[in-house]
Amino acid sequence: MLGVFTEWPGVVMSSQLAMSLMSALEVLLWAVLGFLFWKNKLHRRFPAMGAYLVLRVASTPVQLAFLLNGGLLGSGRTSIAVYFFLYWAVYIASAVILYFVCMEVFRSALSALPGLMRLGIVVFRWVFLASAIASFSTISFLHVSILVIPDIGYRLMRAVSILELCLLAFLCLAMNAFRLSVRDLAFGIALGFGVMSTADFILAATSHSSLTDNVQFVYESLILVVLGLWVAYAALPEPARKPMLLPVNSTIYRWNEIATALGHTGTQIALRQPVNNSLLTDVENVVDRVMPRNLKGRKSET
Amino acid sequence: MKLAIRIFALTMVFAGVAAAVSPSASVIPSHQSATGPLPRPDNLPGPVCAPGIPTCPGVV
Repeated sequence: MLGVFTEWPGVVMSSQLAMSLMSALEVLLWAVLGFLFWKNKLHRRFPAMGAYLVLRVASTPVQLAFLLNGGLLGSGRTSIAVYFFLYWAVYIASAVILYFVCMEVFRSALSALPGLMRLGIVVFRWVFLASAIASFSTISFLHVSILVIPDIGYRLMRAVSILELCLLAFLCLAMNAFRLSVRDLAFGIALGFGVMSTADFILAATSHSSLTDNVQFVYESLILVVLGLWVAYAALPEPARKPMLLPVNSTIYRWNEIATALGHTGTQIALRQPVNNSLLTDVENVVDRVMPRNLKGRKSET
Repeated sequence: MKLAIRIFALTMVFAGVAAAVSPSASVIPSHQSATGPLPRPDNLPGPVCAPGIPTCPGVV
C-alpha cells in the first residue's frame, strides 16, 4: 500500500519522515529497555543480555556521532573509516554476545533439570559450531580485502539467527514439560530474538523484489513491537516459576537422572600400573607361586 | 492465550526457516546487531594488501 504512495513526491517525504521517526523511536526504546533491565536487576539473572543492552545503548550514539559529524577526527574520510570499523566491531561483538544470550535462556529454561541442562549445553555448543562452520565455509578468501570483515559479520550473525530460531522452536515445543510460562522472561527474550531473526531472513529474501519499501516498514514495525514486548517483560513483575511435579517413572525424569550420572565423576580408583620386568620381580613372582604349593604338599603328607 | 502465543511463535520459526533457505535471499545487516546505516562500499578504506596477494597493486 505504501508502494503506491511513493509515486507522489510529497508523500515520499512523509514515508521517509515516518521511517526516521520509527528509527528514533527504536533508539529510544532500546534506551528505555536498558534502563528497566538494570533498574529491576534483571542483569543478575541474564548477564549476557545485560551486556548486549549496554553495547546497543552505548554504541548507537557513538556511531551516529561519527556518521553525522564528518569532521570529528579531522577529515571526513577518517571519520567514515572509523565508523566502518566501529560498525563492524559492534556488529561482530553483538553476534558473539547473542550466542551467550541464547545459552542463558537455554540454561534458565532447563534450570529445574540440571542433568539435562548440562547435556543440552554440550549439544547446543556443537549445533552452533556446526552452523558456524557451514556459514563460514561460504566465505571466499581468494581476494583478501577489508570486505572480508562484513562477510565474517554476516555469516556469524546468520549462524546465531538460526540458533535463535532453533531455541524458540525448542521452547515452544517443550515449555509444557518444563512448566515454563509465556510470561517468563526467558521465553520473552527467545520470542523477541526469534521474531527479529525471522524479520531479518524475510527482508533478505525480499530485498530484490518491488515490495522492498513496504517490507522495510513491516520490518521496522516488527522491531518496535519486539522492543515494546521486552519493555513490558522488563517492567511487569515476573510470575513465580511453578515447581516441576513429575512421576518417578516419567521419561524426562529418567533422562535427567541418566544425564546427571553421565556428568558425575564419582569416587576415583587407582588402576594398577604394569611393573617393569626386572629379575627381582620375576623371582618374587616365582616364590609367590611355589610357596603355597609347598605348604599344601606338607600338609597333605602330615 | 498460551496456545495462541505458541502458535504465533512456531509460525514465525517456520517463516524464518523458509526465508532463510530461499534462493533469492541476499545479505543484509541484521537489526539485532546494528541500528545505524551500513557503511557504503565507496567510502571504505583501501584493500588490505599483503605479500603474495596478486590483486593488490604494487605488491609482489
